[in-house]
Amino acid sequence: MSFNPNIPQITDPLLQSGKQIRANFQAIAQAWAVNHIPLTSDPSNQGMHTVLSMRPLTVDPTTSASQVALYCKAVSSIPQLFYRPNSNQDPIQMTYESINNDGSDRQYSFVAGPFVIYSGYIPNATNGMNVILTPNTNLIYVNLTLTSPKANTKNLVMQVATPINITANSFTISFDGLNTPSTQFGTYYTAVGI
Amino acid sequence: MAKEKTYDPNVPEKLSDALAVSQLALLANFQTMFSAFSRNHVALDSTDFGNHTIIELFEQLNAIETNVNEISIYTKFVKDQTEQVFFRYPGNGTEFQFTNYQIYTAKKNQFFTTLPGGFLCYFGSFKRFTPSAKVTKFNLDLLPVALKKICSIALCPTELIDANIAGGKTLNASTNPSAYPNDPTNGFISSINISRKLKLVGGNSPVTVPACNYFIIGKV
Repeated sequence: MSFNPNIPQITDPLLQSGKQIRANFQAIAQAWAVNHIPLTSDPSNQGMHTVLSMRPLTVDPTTSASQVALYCKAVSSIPQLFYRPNSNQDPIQMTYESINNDGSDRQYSFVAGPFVIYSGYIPNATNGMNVILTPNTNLIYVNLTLTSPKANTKNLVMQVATPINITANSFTISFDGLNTPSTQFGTYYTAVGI
Repeated sequence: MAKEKTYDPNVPEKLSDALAVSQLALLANFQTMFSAFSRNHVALDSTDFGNHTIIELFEQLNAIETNVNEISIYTKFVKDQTEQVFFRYPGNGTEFQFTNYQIYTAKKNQFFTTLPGGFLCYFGSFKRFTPSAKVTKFNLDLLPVALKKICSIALCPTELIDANIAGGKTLNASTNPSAYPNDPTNGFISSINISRKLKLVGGNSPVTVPACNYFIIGKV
């Protein structure tokens, strides 16, 4: 059943128009029930939404000075949520193609941009250990914090972990001031990739 | 304001009725449509009709299905929180919680925000802490108390402090504090233990913790 915007015709008999009008009302009710509280439900809730199911646009929508737009656009064939500020300013991608919040030691989320936010814990990090983060991005920030560093008994310089050789989605852990190079440390990492 | 009516998709009921009979039902449906469309949407009699003004989402009990070329945004109730916005990837892909928690008043110098997926981020700064014989640990409270797991802790000292230790020696100023989460209370991690210890043969020597900036990510 599809909506017919061209009825009733002036010359149609009422018997014919009545059927067409009813078909249109039914089509409207069906269409409205998608993503919205049905028109036939509690009048105080009519017009509100149940869900936003968004199909990708091929071009960014235009926005006026008093308008913003939330929409869906494909990035590498994967639909993503976008926000466009008023007056056709640069669109901002709000979502990333995946997320890992499974409670393991290595997780990631994202913020608008999108930037991928990595956070994790390496229980037995060693000097020179190469760390590869997934998903694959270009890291623009890495921070390492030791849970329990030790001091070098000779020069009294405390252990510091430094991320070096940051390339694409990997980096190397460097422990400065080591007493014994084989020592292992619990190490937190926080990283941002784009 | 006129009382809102319920839409009837089956009018006119009798096709043989005269227009005068059906008119009231037709009019009622048009008025209901107009009224419904005016909520969350620009009114039909406005020049900007078709646009939305706001999106009010009713709570859903289950994840919404998505086609291969479609994303879904909806709300569901989250235990210990309220209704939150969820996002589901195409093709009935992974569902994740897009918003998180309510906004609480944070402590001075401590702020927090959320990341999609049920993560909380705490960030801010703390002042120098000098341990005493009685108080050797510095506990950084995390408010709101909501975390069940610490994902990562980043500490960045904002001052250089040499630390005097036993034997007249000095701990190098570049020494960074260490951090680890305190044991959970009732399942929630409420604070981080921060210390700066010199671990030598013969015992640990707690020394002054420099002022730091911090950034902590945890899972609720």
